[in-house]
Amino acid sequence: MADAHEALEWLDQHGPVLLLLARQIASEASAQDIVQEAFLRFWRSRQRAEDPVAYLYACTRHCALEFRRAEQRRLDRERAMARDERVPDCFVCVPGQEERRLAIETALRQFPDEQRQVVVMKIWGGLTFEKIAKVLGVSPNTAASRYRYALDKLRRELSKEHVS
Amino acid sequence: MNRWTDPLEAELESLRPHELPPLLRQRIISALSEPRRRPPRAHPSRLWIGALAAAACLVIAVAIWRGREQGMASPGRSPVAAGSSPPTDSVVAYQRALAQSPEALDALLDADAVRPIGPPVSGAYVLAGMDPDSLR
Repeated sequence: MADAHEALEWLDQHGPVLLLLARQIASEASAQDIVQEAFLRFWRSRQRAEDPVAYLYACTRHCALEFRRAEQRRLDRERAMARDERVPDCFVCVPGQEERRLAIETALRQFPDEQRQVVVMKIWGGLTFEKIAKVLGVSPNTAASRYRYALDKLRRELSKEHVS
Repeated sequence: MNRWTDPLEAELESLRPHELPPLLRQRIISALSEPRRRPPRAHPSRLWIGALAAAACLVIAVAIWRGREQGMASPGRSPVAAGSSPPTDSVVAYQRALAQSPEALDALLDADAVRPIGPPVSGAYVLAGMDPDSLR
């Protein structure tokens, strides 16, 4: 019972960001299945992890990549196109900020996967660059530069949006 | 010392991802409480049965093979000419004669030279399981 309680705590703390991360990698339809699969894998092998939080994110990323590979084999071109054209809805709507939220989500969607993943883990997951580096299997400097590059690009995109 | 915060970072942080859907949360918790399914493993007794069956097959195969070999080497079908001594006996006889004296060896060689040659039997046919007489 204590185990289930602890699992719920982990789930409530990290679940929303894991779902967000899964959405960056695979399709919206698979995101929930990815989080479920990843969390189960994590929970059953977490004792072996040196850094459990980084491991949880790594499990989710790994699972999402597996799902995406399976989807890519399965889906045809039209469905993939439809996924990209869908209106993004990853964040809680705040009245008065709806347009800005949509602009941010749309801009983020244009970024390469690895940049989006770093932004999600850093901003909403609160992970350090060291942890992000562990998740992605890159150096902390690479993780940091991807993050800065993504933020600069997002800034430019949003300023263009603002002007137009 | 206050850390400078990028306004864009602050804006992004203000966006909150959606909570986990309650159904998904429920699904995960119930999956966690389920006993973990392990991949099916072969039962030890099944392994024993398999090993015994393999051993039995091997014994049967060897028995059949030896039976055939004995059938091929039946009297009158041997590639060795009828009436001649087994090769090992000849070698032993030659060795003994040589040990006695060179004359004894010569005598034995002469005796073998005049011994009539048996009926021609082709070892190749015998080995192939065919009766050479049937070809005549």
